[in-house]
Amino acid sequence: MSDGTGMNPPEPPPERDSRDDEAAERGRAMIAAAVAQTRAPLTLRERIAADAAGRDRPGRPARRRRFAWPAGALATALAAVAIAFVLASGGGGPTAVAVAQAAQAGPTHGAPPVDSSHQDLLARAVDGVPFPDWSGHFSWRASGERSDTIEGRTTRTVFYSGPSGAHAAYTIVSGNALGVPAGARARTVHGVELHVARGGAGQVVTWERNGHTCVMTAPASVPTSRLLELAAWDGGGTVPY
Amino acid sequence: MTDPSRLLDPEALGDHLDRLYRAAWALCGRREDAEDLVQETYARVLAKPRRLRGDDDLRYLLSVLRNTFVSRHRTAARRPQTVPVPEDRELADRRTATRPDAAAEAHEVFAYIAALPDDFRDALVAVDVAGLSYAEAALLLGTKEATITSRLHRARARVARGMDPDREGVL
Repeated sequence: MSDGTGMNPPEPPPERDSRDDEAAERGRAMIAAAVAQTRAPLTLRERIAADAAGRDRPGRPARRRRFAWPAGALATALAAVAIAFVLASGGGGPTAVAVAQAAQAGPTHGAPPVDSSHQDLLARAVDGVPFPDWSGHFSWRASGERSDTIEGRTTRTVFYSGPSGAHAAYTIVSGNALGVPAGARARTVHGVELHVARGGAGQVVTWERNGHTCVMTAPASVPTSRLLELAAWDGGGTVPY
Repeated sequence: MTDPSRLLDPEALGDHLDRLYRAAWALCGRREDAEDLVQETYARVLAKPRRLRGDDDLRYLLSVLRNTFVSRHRTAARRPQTVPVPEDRELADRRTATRPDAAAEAHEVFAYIAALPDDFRDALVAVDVAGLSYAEAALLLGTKEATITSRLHRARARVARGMDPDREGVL
């Protein structure tokens, strides 16, 4: 600022220490990197969901069922997913998205029992391809099942619920494998090739087991990495692929 | 006259979990404490219906998180402190980190932020870790945006110098 005499030059602003600016920028970048690589662990999600589930008590006004199968919402989401799968064909039979949409109608029966003679399997199978029992390893439990016939193919779907309240529908399609979805992203987990499509609030994973197509459908809130891990899990060899 | 407030949707709380977890880690400095803090925060929020104005769910959750942290901190200060076992570092977020070295670095960064003076730490947590705007952070922390800007600048520099002290001699 001038002193008003017109004789002295204005006082220069205090010089900013360039080392401070450089350090601040480095600090910002370090923090950004730490933030980018950090996500809440699944154990925390599960703990919070368990707490939330415990708050539902008889006598209280009924809350919306937290993990009720969101048929309408997910069906809408699947319309977006269908874009990725729309080119799926070539193996004959229904498309993966048709299979997934059928599963959205929700379970018609209760949870299938565990196979008492085979650890890590449920007592349900399609053409000899059994459904896994994830309760021991992942704490995901079978919660219901349904069966459909789509374009001449029988499908059986088992519904699973995770400890955090996440849920997924696992369908095995009878007969030969369906065509590989052309628009989906390919991933390989534990040697199993999977195809993933996401859209809106839903996601669909397809893969093959013993020449049969499996389709898993879940809300987008379920980490895709978790779905892939579940899909590719072989129980140390007890779940046939 | 219509009430502009709305009920906080418990189903939507999961959308903010990652941000809250990072913020909690940067407040506590330890992953295990962060998990406990976030769980307690959610428990408080879910204890009864919450009515909010606008769509500032995250700022509301962060305020509960911070209050819970302060409350826990006061309680913990009256208890004997436990010493973390060395294996803690190996366990750092191993289910989500893609590189062990990166996980270790995140561990160090959050621990360093937690050790900053409260005002600096809170500004960093609100803006750089949780992702609030300067204006939102100012509201959350009850101060001016200019103060947030100043604290952020100094806090970031402290983190850089603390994490990489050798580099200062090069300049």
